[in-house]
Amino acid sequence: MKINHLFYIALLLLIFTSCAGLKPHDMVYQNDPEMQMGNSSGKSYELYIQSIREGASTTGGSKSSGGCGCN
Amino acid sequence: MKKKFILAGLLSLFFSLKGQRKDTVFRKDTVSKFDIEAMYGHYIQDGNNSAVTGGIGTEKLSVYSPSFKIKRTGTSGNILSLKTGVDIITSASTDKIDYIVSSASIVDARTYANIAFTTRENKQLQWTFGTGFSIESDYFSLPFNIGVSHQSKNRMRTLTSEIQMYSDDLRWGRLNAQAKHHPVKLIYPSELRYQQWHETSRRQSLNLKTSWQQIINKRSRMGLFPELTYQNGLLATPFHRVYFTDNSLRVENLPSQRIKGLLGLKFYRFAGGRTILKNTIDLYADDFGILAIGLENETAIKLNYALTLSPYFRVYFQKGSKYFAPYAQHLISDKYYTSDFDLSDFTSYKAGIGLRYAPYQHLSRKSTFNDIQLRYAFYSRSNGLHAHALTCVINGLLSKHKK
Repeated sequence: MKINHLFYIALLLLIFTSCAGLKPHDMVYQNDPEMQMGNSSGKSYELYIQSIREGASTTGGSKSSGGCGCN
Repeated sequence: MKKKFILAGLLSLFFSLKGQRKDTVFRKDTVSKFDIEAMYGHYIQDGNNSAVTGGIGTEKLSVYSPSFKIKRTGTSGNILSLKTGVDIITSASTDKIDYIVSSASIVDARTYANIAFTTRENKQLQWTFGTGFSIESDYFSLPFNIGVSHQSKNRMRTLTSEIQMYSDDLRWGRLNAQAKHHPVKLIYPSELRYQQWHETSRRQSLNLKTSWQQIINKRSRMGLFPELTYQNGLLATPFHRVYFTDNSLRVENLPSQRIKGLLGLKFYRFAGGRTILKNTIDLYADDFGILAIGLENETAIKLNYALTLSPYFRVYFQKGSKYFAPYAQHLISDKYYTSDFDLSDFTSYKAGIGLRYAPYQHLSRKSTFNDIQLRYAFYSRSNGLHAHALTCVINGLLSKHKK
């Protein structure tokens, strides 16, 4: 079981570290605004509400400030 | 003879070469930019499990949220951003904190402002510092954050780390003239004000957020987003009622410490020439006993050079807190208790659509209309709560040339 875990971790590390650089003209897809992993303000607003209505946190959905989130 | 021609050619080339003459007319033109964003958010919900009335009763709520953000990018590359806004909340259940007089809030407002400064140490490393405030009738919050971001030389990998601290005070009175604009007390339900239920009115939160984004190939990227939160102080909401099996009534009580852990995974892929698949998985656990998993897909479809349509869907499964029980089901011997259905077992679904029109149109020599974004989402929870959220965001750019 432990060996399996190690294998998956190694595989994950391999995926994340073995990528060679891309040439500038190959970055056209990566530079598209839709490919950026940050959230737009509209989506952040939805995530803020979500963080109040659900017990869990969500990725990129931290409360930007306090507030009781009553009801 | 042939050699002579070659020599003559080389000599004429040598004498015809000139050093690049300095252009005395040209001067470097630097630009500082102001990104301006105006947003309006509208949220409505309804349900029948309000925590204010012990897990029964209306959860009807409307929130109107205008906000404004300005970001200045200086000629040196440093960025200063300011965001301010207000959430105007009309709520049916908070009016029932006090059955006699509408007290804290049939209408309440949360006003907030945040400022952040980002400085670039070199092409790869940048630091961000931020602070601000948030205030409403029964809440005051001070946030502080410091973050660092590092991009690899080949721009394939970005690592970020951020520490956020929140210092909150849950006392009522800051916005009230009778209380002389000083925080005076916690607001308990009207019939439970005969005793002090909580010893502290403060809450501290410490978040450690990290991210690891990796470009896999020219069409795909992945991200890992681990997050750890530690909270202490008053974690219960003082005006939430809890009814017990013997019909007695108390104020909600929760442990004074909480540790939360989140692991977010994102995978984005440009499929074909016009479609971007954005997939997110959230895995969450905390020591209140909540376990959750959220799965989301948003598919951005580029209809033409300026118009993008983005349908999205999310499903979320939550195993509730060990401190939760519905109306009148807590035992009087329980140490901690809540009837807040946000902490219960449920499944939720969110479906929505986004529309982005981004012409990047010059309005004048110095101003550009970047884009307008509309988003609508319908949210439904298996315990009956349902909600609608609508947002409209307009982005523009002002540039200032310096010579």
